[in-house]
Amino acid sequence: MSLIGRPLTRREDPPLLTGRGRYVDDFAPDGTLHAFVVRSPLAHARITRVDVTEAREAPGVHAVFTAADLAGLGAGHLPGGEGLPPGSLNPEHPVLARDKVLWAGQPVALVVADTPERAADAAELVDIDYDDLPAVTAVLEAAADDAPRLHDGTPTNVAFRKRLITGHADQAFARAAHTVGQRMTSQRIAPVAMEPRGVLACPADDGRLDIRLPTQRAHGARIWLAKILGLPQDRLHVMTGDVGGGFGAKGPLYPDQVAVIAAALALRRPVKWIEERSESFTATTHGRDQVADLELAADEEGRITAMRGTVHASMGAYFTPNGPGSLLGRLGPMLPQAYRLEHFDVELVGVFANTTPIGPYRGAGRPEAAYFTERLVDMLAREMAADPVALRRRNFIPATAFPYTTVTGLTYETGDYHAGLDLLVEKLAEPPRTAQSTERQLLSQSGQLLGRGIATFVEPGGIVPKAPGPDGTIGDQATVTIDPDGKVTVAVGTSGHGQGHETAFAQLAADLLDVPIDDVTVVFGDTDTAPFGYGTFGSRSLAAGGTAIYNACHAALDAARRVDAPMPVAGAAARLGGITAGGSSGAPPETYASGAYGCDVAVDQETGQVTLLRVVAVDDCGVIVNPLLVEGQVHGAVAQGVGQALTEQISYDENGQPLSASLMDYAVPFAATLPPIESYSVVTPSTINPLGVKGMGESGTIGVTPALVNAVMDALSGHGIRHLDMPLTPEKIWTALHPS
Amino acid sequence: MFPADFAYARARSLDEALDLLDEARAAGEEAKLIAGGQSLLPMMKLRLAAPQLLIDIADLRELGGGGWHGAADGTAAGPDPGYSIGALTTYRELGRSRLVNGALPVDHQGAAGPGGGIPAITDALAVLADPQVRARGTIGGAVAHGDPAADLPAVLLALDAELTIVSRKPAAAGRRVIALDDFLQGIYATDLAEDEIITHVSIRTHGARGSAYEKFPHPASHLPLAGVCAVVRLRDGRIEGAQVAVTGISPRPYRARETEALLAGVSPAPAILAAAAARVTAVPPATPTAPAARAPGAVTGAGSGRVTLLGDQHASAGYRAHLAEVLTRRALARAAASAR
Repeated sequence: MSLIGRPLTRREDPPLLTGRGRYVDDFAPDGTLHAFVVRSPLAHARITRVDVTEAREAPGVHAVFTAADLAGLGAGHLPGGEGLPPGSLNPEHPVLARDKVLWAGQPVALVVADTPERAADAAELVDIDYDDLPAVTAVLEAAADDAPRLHDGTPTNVAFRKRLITGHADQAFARAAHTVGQRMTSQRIAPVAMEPRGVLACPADDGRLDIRLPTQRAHGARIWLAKILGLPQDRLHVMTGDVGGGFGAKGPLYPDQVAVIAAALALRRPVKWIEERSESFTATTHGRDQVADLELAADEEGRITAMRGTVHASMGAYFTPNGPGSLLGRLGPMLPQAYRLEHFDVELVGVFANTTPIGPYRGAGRPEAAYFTERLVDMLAREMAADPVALRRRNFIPATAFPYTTVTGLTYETGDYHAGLDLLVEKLAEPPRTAQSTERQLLSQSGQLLGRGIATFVEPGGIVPKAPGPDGTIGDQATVTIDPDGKVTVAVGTSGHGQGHETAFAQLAADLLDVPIDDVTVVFGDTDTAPFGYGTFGSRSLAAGGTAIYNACHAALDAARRVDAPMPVAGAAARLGGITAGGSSGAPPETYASGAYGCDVAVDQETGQVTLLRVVAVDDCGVIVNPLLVEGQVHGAVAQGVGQALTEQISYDENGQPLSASLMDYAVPFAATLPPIESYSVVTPSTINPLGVKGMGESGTIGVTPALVNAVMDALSGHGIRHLDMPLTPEKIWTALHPS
Repeated sequence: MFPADFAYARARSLDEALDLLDEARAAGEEAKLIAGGQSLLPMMKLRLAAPQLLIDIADLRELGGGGWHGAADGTAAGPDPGYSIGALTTYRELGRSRLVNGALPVDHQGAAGPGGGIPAITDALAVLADPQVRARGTIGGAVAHGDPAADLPAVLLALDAELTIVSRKPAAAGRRVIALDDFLQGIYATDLAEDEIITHVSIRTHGARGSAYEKFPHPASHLPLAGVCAVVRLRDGRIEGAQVAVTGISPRPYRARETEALLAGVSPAPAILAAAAARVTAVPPATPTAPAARAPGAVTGAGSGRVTLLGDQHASAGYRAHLAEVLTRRALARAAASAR
């Protein structure tokens, strides 16, 4: 019986749920020293003096490192932005700040001591003089000609501009029967993984460095580290262990982690550093932070003909490698979403500001594109007094049109957007699936404003670089080893960090090899035991890693067929003394998943408080390997998408001081914020990979945010309110309802 | 999150705790009492507080227990006695007490709300922090911390709470009783001296059966952006007396005395409650029987006739004042309903 499509429970959960997970902070080899990072308290300043004399003499302190010390150790700078258009700025990002600090939280020095407490005490003795400079944190202000400049020797904070242009948008707007335009923000938010970042670097007896690093990309981290430290890659052994969530923020390699690793090399002792929760709000990458000025044009019947405008995206103080890509490769090109428009003219502008660097955060450009477009489509529907469902149907790429190349040049391989929306409409017409939802509905019948909103979206996933990896192979690699006793080990270059890869990949291999699933062990996240791969981000692991496993399993089956008599693969392995086979993802184009989400809300007119009554999610992620894992991804992503819509926001004061650097101030949604999530599927298999799978990791953050904001705007529509920026806080709504 | 170094002493008796406080003061050391630690420890980890000595008072039986007419502090029963609650009583113990669950009549003459107990305390404990905090946090700590945005002080204030405070001061000065309204002074500022320990908190219902606590939580901390407690005593369908206390919007929780005055003797019709609620941030002119504000610098907006309002990026001062009005209306309506 096929294992594909079965809702197997996660095999990784029993240890994780009973405290037997092994995270970086669970390791403490003998003689481990502890690091504390001294960070800039200022958003923008020149460093005039760093005096670590007193800190070095403090009790228990082994060393204090500054930028000068790291330079003496031969450490270079962090990787800059990738995939930049010609002429872009790409400033060097120092491991420890040298001359200037560019955001409140930037690492300036590293204290290493016997205990974390002594390191923290000594850090207070590091004496740094700063000359304060004016700071700029808001993206549009940072892009202005007269803004304070962050990077010395650059004429502007605008890091790059790129215009995506197809057809004749201005002519289409001139001819349009209906146009809508709006300035919209996708506010700066924090990923807030349950496990903060950290690192434990242990010099080994064989001259290598064992590095425990909670990362989404073990091999990528090794490549970057080798470059920064000037070491051959084979001297570095990166192990992720269990990772407590990443959401994109554990993709980059961070300056504080590099400093700790350099300290371990210099001291020849294990050195550990675990991020504090408050540090995670200033030192771990943020997501979003864009301002879009966009317009849609439509003809008399509401057929959307063109989109034009500008999107300004903050990069924070420095590029992370994928920071620019969220705008250039995702947000901009995905703006056409599920629609057939022919004219497109949008400029994408990347801007430095005195804020924490921007990195990919769950969706990384996809949620923003869907949010901007789906808000505009709802505004168009309101403008035309049209039904938002009917308007979307009128503009969808029809199921018969695939493969379909969008106005921005992306080729969607398969999809049936009508089927997804039809199912959503059907489910929304039914009563909620659970009693809790019904209770919420009842709660709303006391003079509150009710609203319903929908949003549809398309989600690219499964990206694989086209260039060869460091071992000369293309794509993510997988190795399947079948021992003579029939036990199977699947090693893969993607790097799960909470998604359930051990379960899904075991299901896949057991199904393909026709062996008991309990005989399959899945290995990843260790550069010694897992073959090369690009890690886990951007909804890529099943499409890329799964395809590599598929090809490795088929190579193993081919090897098994070399045995004279047909027999199960385990028998062949016994006869052959074991089978080892490799497979690669190759570098296929991306897959395009899609979805249709709906939300019901109630708004308390007296306070502005939004109650989320209902979330219905319809996803098409192609073939489903494990529906339980798919639903889990929907639930987690919906929670994060609701957080952006209603409560989450990183804010700064006028001096660039963070105002939301703790969980007392940064409002992630609570369990009670969320109604039961009703999750459904339609399936159009992908033609890109042999499994027929598409991406699934981000859909909830893409679909629910615009659906929820559309629902609130629907509730407020009787009061002449057309648009409010996220987060939709009670005060913002109450103020809009009661203009004085 | 590592606190700065500190010494730790666990007191075995109230006398020993008072001695430790005195010794620390004589040595010029900053000492802090720790009971549940739910407010102090986070501040120490953030290094916003760095006491040199922590005196753990968790074992002091003298700070436990409770009963009518201040049995623990020895005051005589009068016509309207207080119910005394030991300062070390945790939120969870309070929630499980007969006082709250209604098995015990809420005054010594046997009157009780329809469900018994004091509904406002039940309301507050249901929305106060999380089960872990409720298991450790104490009622004495809740008032001693002086947090401008805490739930329980508003409820205690509306219940005319008085604190019994002891110290090593000679004779009568070593034991004093102070109204909570006089004790709270401003943001994390109270009337508690360095050498003093709160032993008991006593509350009075004045025979009121009706009460309610309404809260609008901060989106992140879930502390009240605004919280209002109303206690209502009805007679023959009219409000005989009402106490209204507000937290979260001002440097300290305060009694809305103009709202209370507007409610005296009226029928609890929605329009009347709304009119009274509209004055919840007003400061009435001082009279001999109702001082304008017992801590004028902290609560009264200078000359504005309005309490000083707090505002930040989460909620402006004006919005908090609006929330207080809405919550007052709602709390009064529920309190009046439960008073019938």
